[in-house]
Amino acid sequence: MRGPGRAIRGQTTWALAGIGLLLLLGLVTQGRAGEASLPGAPIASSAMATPLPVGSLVDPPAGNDGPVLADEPYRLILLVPYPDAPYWQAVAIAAQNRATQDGA
Amino acid sequence: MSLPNAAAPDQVAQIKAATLVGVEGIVLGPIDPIGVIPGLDAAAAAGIPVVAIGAEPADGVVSAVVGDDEALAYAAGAYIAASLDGQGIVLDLQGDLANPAGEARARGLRAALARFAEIDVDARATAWDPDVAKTVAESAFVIAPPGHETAPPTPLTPDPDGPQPSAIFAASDAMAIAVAAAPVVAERPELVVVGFGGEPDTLAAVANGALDATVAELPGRTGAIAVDLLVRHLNGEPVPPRVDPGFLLVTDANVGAALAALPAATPMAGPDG
Repeated sequence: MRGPGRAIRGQTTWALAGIGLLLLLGLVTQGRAGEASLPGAPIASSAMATPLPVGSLVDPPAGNDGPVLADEPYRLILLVPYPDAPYWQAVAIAAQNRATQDGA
Repeated sequence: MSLPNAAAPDQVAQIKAATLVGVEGIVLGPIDPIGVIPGLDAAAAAGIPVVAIGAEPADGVVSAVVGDDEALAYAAGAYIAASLDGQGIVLDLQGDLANPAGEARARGLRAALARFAEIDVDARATAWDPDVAKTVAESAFVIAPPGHETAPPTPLTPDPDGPQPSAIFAASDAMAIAVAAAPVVAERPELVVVGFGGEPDTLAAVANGALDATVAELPGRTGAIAVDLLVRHLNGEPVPPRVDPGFLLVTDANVGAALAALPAATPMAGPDG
């Protein structure tokens, strides 16, 4: 596994930090979940988002490109400018779901 | 969307902090594609790849998932032209032409409508301000009282016989909502009103008939593709420098499905979990 991170099986952790502009994303990777945080940032308890419906007319899945099987476990961080905006919330949900799929 | 310049340094600080926590990659929605460059430099120095969403910095990212604003606006224009049978006046409530997104949206709309000789475009700048957009729309349907032709004060009286817009294009979600709610617009069911964006309020406005259509980005595809690109890069595969996630024209024909596909209202946990 790359990087230090504490492994928590089946759990994904989200945290908001800074002045609300930062969404920190810990991603499940190959059956294990990495947890990452910024120094001093509050850590949220596990809270999974409701997955986006697949096959929906408004936002069809990106099935033509993935999921992509990762060669190694990984942890990614997602930084969005407006975490309260519906657009960015939808981006975050999809990124979370896809990261789990890609790491599975 | 107008982006506050003051926030760019904050995002740079967040990127720099992210390089210290041991992640393999960053998915970033740049708040300012130029102002964020020092943060991208820090990520590069730490050997952490970045995939951008929604904006394309000139350098420092392995790929960017960016919608084609011009294509979306072109689709909106094509819808408007078809709805008007190729003739009429289209009021283009632009965002800010100094902003690349605003300029692209204006260009796309104009390109679509330029194919119709009997369609005139009345373009107005709004600086992305919904209140300004609403005021501009209201003013397009009035004439000045006698003696105030150049600067009508108040009250403003609708002119049923004068040249008036037969369609309105609003270049953002918030502007579209504001314009659709203006009485002078709402009272004209024959007016074709088209927005830009797929946020819940905008889709609801299409569903209730306040808007005729909107061109919606696809944030779900965008987020998934961004992660795929980053994982491919981590796998050592080549990735394209830019990917267009596509878009959808939402009308009364498909707005039900669009609303049903919206994500949960509160998908992310805050500091308290």
